[in-house]
Amino acid sequence: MSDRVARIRSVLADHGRLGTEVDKVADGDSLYEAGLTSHASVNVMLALEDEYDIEFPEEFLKRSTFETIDNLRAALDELLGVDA
Amino acid sequence: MQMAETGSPMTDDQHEDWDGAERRIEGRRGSDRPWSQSQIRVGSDMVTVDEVAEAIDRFGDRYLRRVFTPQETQTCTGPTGPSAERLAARFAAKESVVKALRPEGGTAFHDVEVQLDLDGGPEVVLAGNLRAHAERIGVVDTSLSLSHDNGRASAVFVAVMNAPLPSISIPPASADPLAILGELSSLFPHPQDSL
Repeated sequence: MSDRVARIRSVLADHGRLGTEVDKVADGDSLYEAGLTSHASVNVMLALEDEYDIEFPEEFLKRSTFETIDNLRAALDELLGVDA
Repeated sequence: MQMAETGSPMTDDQHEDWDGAERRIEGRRGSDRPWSQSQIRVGSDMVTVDEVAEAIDRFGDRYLRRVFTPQETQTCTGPTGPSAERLAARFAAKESVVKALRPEGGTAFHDVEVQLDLDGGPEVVLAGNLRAHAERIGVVDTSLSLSHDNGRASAVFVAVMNAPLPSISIPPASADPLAILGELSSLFPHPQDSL
């Protein structure tokens, strides 16, 4: 597991309010099906912004960005550069 | 609205060559509804108030500034601070608008602002890319209802869209006038559609 995915999972555990333990959610699984609400996705966004000192631009503020851990990692990769 | 396709059967949609000039009439396909009928879209959303309260506690002003417009925050702030209940209703409103209008890209939270009209009822004011999208899909009127009770806040949003008018490529001046009239009359097959 990359450091970036580990940090995403940590943020989801703290702010995602998932109905499932995040360890049981695969990187490609739907976070919405795991219990992520539209408002909780805002908390996840703000927490990731704090974590990486970034701001998600408007084009990233859509449901698909927060659909899976893979999608979140791809968004962060695009905003920060590919994970080393 | 369905678009006419080259080579499609002549039904309500018609597409053919006419004296070398393409004539295309984009019309109804598989529908008995008249042209003038409006369409509506509905979106709804529900938010748990304690989620909003938690976000205010954890992220404070950054959360408020990022999600809500200054006017929304001011409207929902009383002597004891921001009302999570009222803000939750506004967040539900933003989500309901996006669900109804279905923009293709991302949407800035501030592109949907809930304001109170002269009667004190909530109304939606759109801005930015979402406003442009709404204009593009023909939204002519909207209505919003907010509610909160027992730790939950909800919103229902309705958008009314005018059905697009048919588009016609004008045939060359040499075309038969009677044929043109016949073609135009085919656009309004129902009595209530008569000019």
